[in-house]
Amino acid sequence: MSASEWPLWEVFTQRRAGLPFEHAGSVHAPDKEMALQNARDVYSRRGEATCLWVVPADCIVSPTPEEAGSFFDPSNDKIYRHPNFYKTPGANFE
Amino acid sequence: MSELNKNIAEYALRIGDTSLILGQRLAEWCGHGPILEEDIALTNISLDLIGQSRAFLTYAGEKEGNGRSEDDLAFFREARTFKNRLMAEQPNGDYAQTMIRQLFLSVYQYYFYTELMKSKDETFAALAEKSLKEVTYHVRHSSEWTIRFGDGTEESHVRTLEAVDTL
Amino acid sequence: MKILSEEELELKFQERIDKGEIIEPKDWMPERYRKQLIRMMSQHAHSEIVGMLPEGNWITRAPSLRRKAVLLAKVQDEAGHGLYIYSGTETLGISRDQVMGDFLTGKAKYSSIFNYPTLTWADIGAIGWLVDGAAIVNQTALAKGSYGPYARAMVRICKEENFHHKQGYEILATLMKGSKEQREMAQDSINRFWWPSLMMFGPSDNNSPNSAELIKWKVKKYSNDELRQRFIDRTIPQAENIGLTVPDKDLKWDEETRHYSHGEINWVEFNNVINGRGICNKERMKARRDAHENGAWVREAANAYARKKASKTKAA
Repeated sequence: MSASEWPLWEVFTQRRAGLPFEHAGSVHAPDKEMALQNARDVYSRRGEATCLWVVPADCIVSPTPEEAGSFFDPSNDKIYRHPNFYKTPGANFE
Repeated sequence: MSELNKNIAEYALRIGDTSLILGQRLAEWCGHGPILEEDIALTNISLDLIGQSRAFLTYAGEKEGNGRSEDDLAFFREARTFKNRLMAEQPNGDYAQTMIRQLFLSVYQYYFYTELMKSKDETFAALAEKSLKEVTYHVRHSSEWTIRFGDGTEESHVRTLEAVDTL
Repeated sequence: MKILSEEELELKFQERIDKGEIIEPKDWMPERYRKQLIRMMSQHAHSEIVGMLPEGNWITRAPSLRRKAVLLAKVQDEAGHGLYIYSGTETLGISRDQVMGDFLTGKAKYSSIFNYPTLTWADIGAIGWLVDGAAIVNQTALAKGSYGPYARAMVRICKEENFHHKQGYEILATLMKGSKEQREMAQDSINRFWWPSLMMFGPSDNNSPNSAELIKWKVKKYSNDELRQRFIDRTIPQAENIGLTVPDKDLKWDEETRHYSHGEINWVEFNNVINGRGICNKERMKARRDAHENGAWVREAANAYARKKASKTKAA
């Protein structure tokens, strides 16, 4: 980024109240008020949002691909966390 | 045509013309804005205004009763017969002039539509209610920029003062 | 952990690609893959931005308020599309300022189609129908590409672009139902935009330096000629439907291949336009440079205000 470039913000939109926020994309903006406006103007032109989050891109933390194995693979064999692991002869759980 | 309908048509035309001319001015920026995000933002305002003008011009045509459509009114009148606020047709100038013009007109429209919502004419009241939501955002957008220009750099400050003087 | 050599990493990378896995920004990738993506994505983004100009030319002169609003919304979408793709290139570690800089200094290219002038209102129809039609064929293929952020941008863009395509066709269909002059205007526009639209798919396969690599990495899933053929096959019936003809005397339906065969593209013209000698190259670049330069004080004012506010918050 050059010194004069506005910082990058990540934009999350909520399609309808009650639904989770989803990553919509990014915008550049000098500060949070402008980030919110730019997010609104870029990512809700077709009624895609009833609410918005904007987050400075450099505040988002995620594991590196090298860490991914140790982060996520250990949960793959815990099949007893899933309801279909259990035998419940005859009983109705619906 | 009754005197009342004639007056309503005339009034709707005035409102529609201001939105139309300002929307047209803002559309000139499309593709030439200072940064992509702002290009998109300004176009949103322009689209709101063109939408408003279409609704008011259509209503003017209805009340006039001569079968003139929004397009007849927008495209087939002499320039001298337009009834827009003169502020709306002022040239875009630099971005400060565009923003200050927007601030002045959006604030004007904000108070105007707030009052128009109380109109006994149901169409006016309904159009005003819809337009007010749009204009409220325009006020926000142009205010935020005015603050940044006024308290940004020396250059932006000077340009903004000049814009205020001009307008 | 075993440190893998460059060759081993590259092998593993290719394995992932072959399995149809999607590459995300932080994943290891060959430098060449990154470079090719930056080149391709930034060209694509610049094309969206330059593409605003020929159509923007008609916004203030659109023949009805409905058409004006539609065109304005469409050109605005192009700005959005440029923005989405620039955001994609930023995930590759290069800022929008940098890629924009390469564009404004003439180092980076953009689609040759936008160096043709829009002389009549029918050209707005032709651009929507042919140019956006070609773009959709291209982008639908790119949406299945191997780089996550690019593919995601394409999905979003394709959704938005469908209206662009249809509004263009509607303009031409309306003109073709009009007066003799209007029909001639529509046909004249197709005569000018047909070949440049075919050129949008890039050089033919035997002459496309980047294609093999991009296909190996599944950035591209189909060759230029395959996509061009797909475009022709779906467009000709649409033309016939409203009585337009394309200016290619060699065009005919081939019962055996079940495709249209077409005449030779004028590659000399293509290379001329790509290399800056098209009708509007200078005008387009000037417009973009002016916008960037005239906007510098605006961007800087916002920065200065943000800095002042941040230091005040700190002090308080």
